[in-house]
Amino acid sequence: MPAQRIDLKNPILAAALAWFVPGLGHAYQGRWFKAILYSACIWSTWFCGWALGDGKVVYYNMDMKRGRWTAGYAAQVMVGSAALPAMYQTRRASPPEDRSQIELKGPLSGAFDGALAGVSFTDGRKGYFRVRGQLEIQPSEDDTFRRSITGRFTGTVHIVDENGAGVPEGAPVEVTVNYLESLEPEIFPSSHRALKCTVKGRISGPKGGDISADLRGKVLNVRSLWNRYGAPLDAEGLEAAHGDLGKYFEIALVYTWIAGLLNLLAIWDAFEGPAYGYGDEEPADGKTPGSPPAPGTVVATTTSVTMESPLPHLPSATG
Amino acid sequence: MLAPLLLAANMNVTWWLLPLVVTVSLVYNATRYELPEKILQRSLRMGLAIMAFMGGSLTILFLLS
Repeated sequence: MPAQRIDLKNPILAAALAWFVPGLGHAYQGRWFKAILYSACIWSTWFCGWALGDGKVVYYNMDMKRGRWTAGYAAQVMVGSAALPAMYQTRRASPPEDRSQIELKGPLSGAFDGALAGVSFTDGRKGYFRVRGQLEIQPSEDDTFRRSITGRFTGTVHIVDENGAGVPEGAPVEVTVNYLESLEPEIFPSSHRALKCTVKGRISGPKGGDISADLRGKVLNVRSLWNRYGAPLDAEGLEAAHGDLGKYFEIALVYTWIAGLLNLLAIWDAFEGPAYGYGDEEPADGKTPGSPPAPGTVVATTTSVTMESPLPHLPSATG
Repeated sequence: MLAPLLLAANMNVTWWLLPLVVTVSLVYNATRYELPEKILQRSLRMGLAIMAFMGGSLTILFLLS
């Protein structure tokens, strides 16, 4: 072991610190260059992957029934403190299999971005509109089936395509909400919260009228960091993440896995010291294995060489 | 967060390998040696070797495709 020149202090404690916070074990040993190098490389790789994956790539397990580790999480957890919350979040979440079974537990309000789908006007017209505005909902008091809600959405028609039934952009919308069809779990890796509910109300202005429709979309920025960091995805969320992020979802996963695996090397370095040596040892054969001597280096050798003339013995010219 | 912007920019995913080459080279060689100069020198060599290998592989695949 080449660690005699390095004070590893308590190697087990150093390894534990290096696992919990990349770089901390080496800082404890006073190996500051390595502490900074490991910390910068591993944390930047980790958070680059986390941000690239929209915070959805770090989760404890996908199989809620069997509670198994995924191989990916086994690599991620080598980063320690950054990945550990995922285990706790899975215990907190325990979501049912179907989002339609999730009831609204309290008031939910915020900016809303979504669509009015399957719009039926009282005069028989049909339509589909993108809408933006403010949504306020809360559980209904006479909630027999746990999905009756009260509340309202006020906003404007945002985008109109050929299915717009003649309604212009910017037309005011005011509808009451009465039934929750599906709701994203409370603990979920996104700051927005998706929902789908049935509504009745009115679109004002030219070509407007009374309507009944489905309101589907996201209430923006309503989920706290505590409810989203390391939270598990359900099957529907995983499918949506793949759809939204495309190839970057896989790249983000690979970044977080590699961060974990690199920290595994760093943990061993904290425990055992560098594998090949300090780096300035004089090799026995006078050169570093696998590399030529630096220019200007004098390589001393003590090999004695006996040379014989390559020429055959010539007879004397005089005979 | 970040991915939709990158998707919109239609950035080639191959560029995402470069940061990984840098970090893997640095961390791997830091576990081999202790001297900063030695670590940096070896990391540079390893990084270039990886890039050359990947570039060669990419060229071969490109020519075969």
